Formats: sequence, C-alpha cells, structure tokens
Amino acid sequence: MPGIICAIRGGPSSQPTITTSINLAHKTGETIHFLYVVNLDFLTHSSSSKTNHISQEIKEMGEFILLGAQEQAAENGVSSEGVTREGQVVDEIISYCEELYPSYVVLGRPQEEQENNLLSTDQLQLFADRITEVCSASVILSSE
Amino acid sequence: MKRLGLICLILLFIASGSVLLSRERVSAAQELPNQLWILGTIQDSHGQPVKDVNIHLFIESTPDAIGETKTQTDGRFALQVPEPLPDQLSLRLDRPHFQQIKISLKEKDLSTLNSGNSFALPTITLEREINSSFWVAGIVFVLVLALIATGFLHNTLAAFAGASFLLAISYLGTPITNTLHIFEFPQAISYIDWNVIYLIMGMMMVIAVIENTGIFHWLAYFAYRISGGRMWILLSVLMLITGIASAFLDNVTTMLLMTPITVQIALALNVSPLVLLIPEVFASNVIGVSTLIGTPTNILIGSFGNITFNNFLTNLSPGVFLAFIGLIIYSWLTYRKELSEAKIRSPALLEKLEERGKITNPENLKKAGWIGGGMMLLFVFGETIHLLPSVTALIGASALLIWIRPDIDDMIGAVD
Repeated sequence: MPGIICAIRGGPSSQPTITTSINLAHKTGETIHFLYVVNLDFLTHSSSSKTNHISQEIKEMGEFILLGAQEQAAENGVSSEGVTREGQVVDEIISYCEELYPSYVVLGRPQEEQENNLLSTDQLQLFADRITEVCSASVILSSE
Repeated sequence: MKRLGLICLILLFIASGSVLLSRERVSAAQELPNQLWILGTIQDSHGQPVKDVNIHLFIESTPDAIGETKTQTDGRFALQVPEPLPDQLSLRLDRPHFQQIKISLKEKDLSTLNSGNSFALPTITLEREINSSFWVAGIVFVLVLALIATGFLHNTLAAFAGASFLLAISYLGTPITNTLHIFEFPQAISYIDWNVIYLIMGMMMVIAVIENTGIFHWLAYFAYRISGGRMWILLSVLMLITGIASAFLDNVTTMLLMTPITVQIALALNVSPLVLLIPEVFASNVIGVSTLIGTPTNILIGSFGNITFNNFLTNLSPGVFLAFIGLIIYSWLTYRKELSEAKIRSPALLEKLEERGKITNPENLKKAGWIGGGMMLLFVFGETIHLLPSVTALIGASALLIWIRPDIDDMIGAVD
C-alpha cells in the first residue's frame, strides 16, 4: 500500500491541497502522508545565530500544521500520518518519494505567479515530471 | 602587632607625602615661563568641531614651517609661537577631505604677540572638499547597501568587502594621488563604536538564555487563555506581548520567537496566521523604538548622540502609547471579518497548544528574571553614575552565564 504524499506548508493556501488529497484517499483507500519541510534559508539574511532554536520552533510548528491536517483527514474517515523533514523543499520531497514510492503526490499549484512562490508554473511542471521519473507516482497539482 | 600596624601607617604617610611632593615638582616643571600661543577653534560648515586638522605656522614667503600642531576632538588648538618673532606670520590649515586654507596674521595680532601676550583667533570654518575619495566612498557605500538589500551577499560579508575595498583604495591609491586617501587603518578602527558592539553582544547572550525557557510559548498561550475566545482581546494582548518584548529585545529576534507559536494559535482557531502576525509586526516596530535597547538603530543613535535610556523612554513612550492604541484599532478594523469567523478547529490542536504553552525551564527563567530586573534598574538609574548601557549588558550577561552555567559554545554561537 504505497499511499499518497501531500506536501503542505500550512495556512489557508494549503487547504485545497489537503482537501484534494483527502478526496483522493477516499477514492483509492490509501493512506495520506502529509509532509512538512523545514527550510531555514531565510535565516541566512537575518539571524543565523538562532538557527538551532528557530529550527526546533519551526519543526514544532510543522508538527502542529501536520496535526491539523491529520485531524481533518480523520474527520473525513481517512487514515493519515505526518512527517517533518529539514532541508530544501524540492530535495526533501524527492527524497521522501524515493523512500515511499507513493501512488500519488499532491502538490499545491499557486493561483498566480508571485515572487514568494517556491516554484514558477513551468518549474512546478518540471518538478512534477521529475517526481514521476523518480518513483512513477502520478502527480496531482491542486490549485491553492 | 600594633607596632607593625603603626610602622605600616608611617610608611603609608611617607609614601603619600613623596607622591604629593613629586607631583608638586612635576607641576612646577610644567609651568613654562612666558610662552606665546595662538589659540583657536576649527569647525566644519555644519558647526561641528573638526579634529586632527594639521596647523602649520610659517614666516610669510618661506616654505618651512616654524611651528605645528593638531586640533583636538573639540576642534580646539594651541600653537606655540617660537621667538624671536618675525614681522609676518601665516597659518596653513589642512586635513584630508577638507579644503586647505591659509590665514595671514594681522598686524594687530602680531603686535599682541610682540607685547608678550597670546591671542585667540575667531572660529575658523573648514569647507569640505569633494574629490575622488568622496565619490569612491559614496559609491562603495551604495554598493554595499545594494548587496545587502538584494541578498547577493550576506550582510557581514558585504560590510567586510566594503570596508576592505575602502582600505585597499586608501593604501594602494594614495601613492598614485592624494585625492584617493579615504582613511588609515587606525582611523577606521576608531570608527567602530564598541559601546554598541558590547551592548548588542551582552543582550544577545541574555536573549539566548531566556528564549530557551519557553517564556514566549507560555505568554502566547496565556494571551489565548485570558482572551476567553474574544478575538479582539487575543489580538491586543498578543500585540502588547510582542511590543513589550521588542522594547527589550531586537525586533527580528522577537518576531522569530513569536511567529511559530502565533501560527499555531491561528491554526487552532482556524484563522489565517497573517491576521495575527501582521499586527504583531506593527506592534514590534512601534513599541520597539521606545527604548534605547529596542532596536540596533536606537543603540547606534543613542551612542552617537549621547541619548540615554531614560531620554528614549520618557520622550518616546507617550507617542508610542498613542500609536499603539491607534494600531490596535486599525488592526481590528482591517481584520475584523477574519477575526469574527474564528472558531476552535479541534480539541486535539488545543491540547497540543496547551502542552506547548508551558515554561520548560522555570529555574533558569527565575534566574534570568532576577538578572533581567537588575539590568533594567541599571539601565534606568545607571546613567546617574555615567554607567554605559554596554557595561550593564555585559555585567548582566556575565552574571547570567556564571549563575546558570549554560554551554559556553552555545552562548558564543548565539552572538551574531
């Protein structure tokens, strides 16, 4: 039972991604693996001395975000688990896919091109192709 | 025993007497008879004293100086005039980055000197000279800011690169042309404000201890508890906590510590985290300016302008208070729709929030509280005995390190 990987970063914009993965789990009966990646790159421009403490804080925040998503899945009668990783978001998603070999990977697709988007629309499509190449999973891009 | 004490006392008196007598002899030797002086003050076009101006005394139409001196930090100088007095005298004033000027002494001044009296010149104003070094320094400054703003280089690396480039230009360019002289290494070092460096360093160590006690989690959860589900109270209390913390800690640090727990509260209440975070950022900036130690900018301004902790507090607090009230109203009006839709998402999230909203190290918090309180007293009352804030911060940090004995490598790592 390979499962569904759903990468989220919390907040209202992740809600459609969570809903899509729950609907998919309903149809397939597979378990959702919610993934939250702690990326501390932003600290290099402010207070790198606090990396250890902030890393722990953000990891705890990630666990909280995952718990919220898991609660939502449980309310809808879907089994799920949460995983936090630390590093580059793209690399960690790929790494988790290589470990789990999921059937599906659900990613959020931003509604519009913004500077703070992790990936542009073109890059997101390339990333989805790479995931399929790595673990043969179907990638579903959910609009945020 | 008594005899020994008496001998010691006598020896002490003899030693003191010797010191006093020798001081008298030195004083007598320092009283120089009948010397003639030209006194004066040099300022720039903004009326600020100019130090290190080279002042040379010439006999008119001869190239060699017969006397020279430099201005002190207050811009004053005293130039000794050698005897016998010539008929015509002139002064040449020069300093890098200022236009050189020549002053011929008037007959009246010369006759004052001839009558055996010193005299003071009227205040002299030196005009800035805009040359190559000005443009090089200006362009490097803008480039460093651009590198920091774009994130192309880390802040520290950009600053080091700029400083080393200016020194390289000074040392390698001056042999080619004097107009490329910006500053020398000792002068560059003298521009570092150690009061600021030690104040920030001391406060960072104190923060490093406090942040590991769980106080920020506890405060945020406390805000949630006392709000009793009323979002405007939660918003106001979170803003107040962030603001007060920012008044004593750096704003960025405060927000880094408050953000994760605020996001968790927002998620538990099913509202967008931005609804709570943006007002917190505003509060951090507004209340953070009310104290000398609230922002690095205030520390720099305070150190440069000799503005004390109390000056900041008493002059800025009323305005900051009014601004904070306005900020609460503005935040409520802006986010009232989102806030009114808040509801508890699930009991499991609340349980998790409660679990995290605990003091993790009460012992250290108690110690940090005592020392933090003592530091505040020294910040407020220390200025009456001219105690610098940097010294207070260092005393506090050292006391905390000795009392708590944290991992010293962690503490060194906590300093940016």
